Formats: sequence, structure tokens, C-alpha cells
Amino acid sequence: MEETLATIAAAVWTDNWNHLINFKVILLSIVIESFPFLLLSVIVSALLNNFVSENTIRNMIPKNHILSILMACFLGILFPVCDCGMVPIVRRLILKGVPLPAAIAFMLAAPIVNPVVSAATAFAFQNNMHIVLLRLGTAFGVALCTGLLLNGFTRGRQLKSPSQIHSHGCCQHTTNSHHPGHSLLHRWINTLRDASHEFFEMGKYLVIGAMLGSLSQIVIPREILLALGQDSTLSIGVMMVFAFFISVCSAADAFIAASFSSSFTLGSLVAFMVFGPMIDLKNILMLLHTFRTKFVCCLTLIIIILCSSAAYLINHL
Amino acid sequence: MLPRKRHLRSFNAEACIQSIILLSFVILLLWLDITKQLSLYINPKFIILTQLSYLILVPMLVMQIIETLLPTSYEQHCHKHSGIGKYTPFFLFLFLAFAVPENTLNANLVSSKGLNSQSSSITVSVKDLPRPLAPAFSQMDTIKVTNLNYTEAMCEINNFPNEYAGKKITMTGFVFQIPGISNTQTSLVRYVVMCCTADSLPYGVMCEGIEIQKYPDGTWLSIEGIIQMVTYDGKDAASIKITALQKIEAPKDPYVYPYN
Repeated sequence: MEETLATIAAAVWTDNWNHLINFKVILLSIVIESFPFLLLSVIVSALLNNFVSENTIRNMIPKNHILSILMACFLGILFPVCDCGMVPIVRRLILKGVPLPAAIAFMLAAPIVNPVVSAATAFAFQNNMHIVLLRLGTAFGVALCTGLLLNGFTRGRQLKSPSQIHSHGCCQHTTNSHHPGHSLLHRWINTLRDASHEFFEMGKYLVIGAMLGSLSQIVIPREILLALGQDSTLSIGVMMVFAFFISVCSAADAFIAASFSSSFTLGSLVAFMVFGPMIDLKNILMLLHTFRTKFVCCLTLIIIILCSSAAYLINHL
Repeated sequence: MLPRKRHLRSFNAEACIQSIILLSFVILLLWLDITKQLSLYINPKFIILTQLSYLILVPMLVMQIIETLLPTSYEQHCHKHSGIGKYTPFFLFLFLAFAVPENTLNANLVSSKGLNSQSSSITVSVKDLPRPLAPAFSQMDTIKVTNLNYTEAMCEINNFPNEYAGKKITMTGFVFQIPGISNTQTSLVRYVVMCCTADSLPYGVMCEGIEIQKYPDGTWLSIEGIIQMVTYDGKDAASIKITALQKIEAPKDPYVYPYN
């Protein structure tokens, strides 16, 4: 009896140990993969803070709001960034005077409407340009509509007030960090300091998001997903929830979508590849940290509605 | 004067913790790079990005160390900080990274990821896909599955078993037993990784042979066999009838990185 118990205990232990190893490997891979992008983004954000004045940025943006949103949707073509590190840059842009709708449109469109991701998608689906165009088109449409909706219905920056975020209230200069008078060395030192403060602030959420993402990879069995894949409406919801939890990079998710292509509806695959880079576990934590909770909820809701209706249209046309 | 002094000291401690975390990240990335482990986590073509990122971390680390030593050099003082609690995720991550020695995905994940040969069915879309290897394979008597052609070879064999039935095949992979309704089905599997191990997908082919079922999940084998067509779940499927089998060490490059 005792021996059997011991064998069972040993088996359970090995099983759990194996799960822990897989958890660790997936966690490390997500963090290592997104690390350069996070660093790049906090450094770009810190450089913007210390070297670019508000006036420069204000002069670059078209005065017309609609035009500025439209421009923001195309900016990803010039800056092929991953969704992992968008939030710090977007926050900085808003602090520098970029209107909220344009900044959000940039945040939503740039990780998808860019050459790197288009190439990866084309690769994953073996040069099926139909899917690539559907993905880019849907992402563009969702970003543009969200920008226009925000333009019509929100006012102000929607950022949390400085007292709610430590870094801006204290350890660094606030909004007007750009001091033309400071020496170059001083600016570089401040850039490094800002970058590492933001790294700690945002990195925390990246790590938590990566942990939850790896956990869900281990506990969500694929059979459950596959069982729901052929239903034209249900599959869309399933894939969006799946995209939210697994939190992979926008350059890699096309390959995951491709692995589902034989068993899932086309609309749900597009929803997966559009919704994932816009809203997922790791960036929603950063969004909640940066923006007002109410705003993040509205934004998420708008994106969910837009993505699922676009996917529904794709399935039924 | 006393409260102000406490401020300075707590700020100092914070910079110190930040320096420790940055240093650990530099050490972790450097160690993974020097011991050539990075390709176990991310696609080798992205390693350059990781190298850049630890080079960028170094000046940030130097900055934090200076700040630790000279807490008053900066004009701003922190008035409210929640303390070291907010660094818990970093410490938890670093602890896992250093304390769990194994660095390769094991067979446990196959069941939650789902095996390609179980899920794919011959649909119109599969028939439309380009088949770059088909002409070459149809010429060969023995199909040698390697790191380079692994993904395509598995797709070809699983999707068109009728075209390859009777051909010889050599391949390596680890054992995975799919718990079936009537009898357990054994497959030889490898993880295919696109960007990072988080997007890994198990690709494999079913195998038959008296010997193979003795090996537990995750055992690496190098096999020779003959492709045959079987019926699995009411569908045509490929299965390898094993003629020779050798247990091997887990390879240094366990994952397949296609399109490199």
C-alpha cells in the first residue's frame, strides 16, 4: 500500500516538475523575446522626453484631427514596433501633446500594419495574400474607427493623474522635462535615468503578463479550442479570448493562427491576429497602469466590438 | 531632520534593489548567451537583439549604481513609494530562471498543444497549399527527415500518406503516447518553433513497432522505417512501421526552426 502511494506521489511529483519546467521555459522565452522591444520602447520614450520638445511634435502633427488619426494609422510602416512596448511610447507622446485619439490609433495600428508583421503573416500562411490583406485591412479599420470614436466622445488625456503614478510625480521630471538649457551630458544622464525608471515600471507588467500567458499555455488544452472552431460565431469569441491570454508577439501570432487554419473559421483567425496585438494580458496591465480604468474598459469594449463584427462579416460574406 | 533622512535612505535602498535586478538580468542574458542556451528560448536569428539588449542594460546599471552611491545627487526626492513589494515579479522571474536548471520543453506540453497529425484533416485548403518538397520526395527511395526539412516533410507525409506509402524513412524525435480509446497510439514528435518557444507546436508522425511502446514519453529515438497508410479516427493517416530503432541523447538543438 505504502509503496503504491509512494509511486503515485513520485509520478505526481515528476508530472508537476515537468509542468514547472515547461512553465519556466515558456516564461523565459516570452520575456527574452520581448525584452529588446521593451528596452527599445523605454529608451525611445526617454529620448523623446529629453531631446524632443513639445513644439516639434506639435508642428509635425496635422492640425486636422481626422487627418492626424489617419496619419497615425500609417506610422507603423515607418516604425515597425512590436506590441510589447507600445504603452510607454504612447504615454510619452500623449504627455508631449499628441491628441489622445491619434496616439491610441498609432498604438493599435503600428504593431500590425507594418512590413515585418506583414512578411511574417505571408510566411505563416504560405503566401496567401488574401489573409495578409484581411489582417492588415481589419487592423487598419479597427484602429481608424477607434480613433474616430475616441475623437468624438472623449476629452483630455485620460492618463492617470501624476499622483497615481509614482514615476511622474517624483523620481523624474514631470511633463516638461525638456530643458533646452541643460548640457548634452546632463540630457543623456537623464535619458538613462528615465529609461530605467520606466523599465521597472513597465517591466513588472510584462513579467506578470508573461507568467499568466505561460500558465494558460500549459492549462488550456487544445482539444477544447478545436471543438469550438467550426461554429461561425462562437469560434470568433474563442479565438479572441485565446489571443488575449496567450500574449505572444504580433510577429509570431500568425504562425499560431496558421496552425489552427484547418480547423477554425477564417473570420476567427483574423480576429485572433487583430485583437491579440491590440489587447492582451501583458499590455492591458500596462494600459491599466497608465490610463484611467474607465477609459481602458471603454477602449477594450470598443475594440472587442469592432474586431468581432469585422470577423463576423468576414465569416458571412 | 529625521524624516528627511529616512527618505534618502529608502531611496538609496530602492536604487540598490534596482541595481541588483539589472545586474541579474545582465548576468542571466550573458550566461545564456555564453553557454549557447539562447537558441533554446528564441529563434537564433533574434539572438542579436538579445545581445544588443544586454549591452543597453549595462549603462542603465552603471547609472543605478551611481545613484545608489550618491543618493543626494538628484534634485528630486521620492515621497511615496510602496517599497520593495513592486519588485516581486522581477525576483520571482529571476528566481525561476536561475533555480530551475532544465531548459528544454518536455513531452508534457504536447497534450495541451495538440499534435499536428491529430488535428489536421485533408481539407480543400491543404490541397491548395504549395508543396515545395513533393517533387524531390517522390524521386527518393529513402526520405531523410532533417532539421531543415522537418516541418514540410511532416506535412507532406501526414497530408498525403497515399503518395508515400511503401517508401523508407529515417528520422529522429521524441516519443509521445496519445491516450486513445482502444489502444495507445505512439508518435515520434519534435517541437517546431517560429519566434520563441512560447509559440512552439509539436509536429510528428505516428509510429508502430513492438519496441517503441516500451519507451516513456520524451525519450529521444532515431528510427528507420517504412511509411504505410492506416485509418485513424476514420481518416487516412500516415504511420511508420519501424524496422530499426536506436535510443539517443537529447540533441543540442532539440527544436526545429523552419524558414531560417
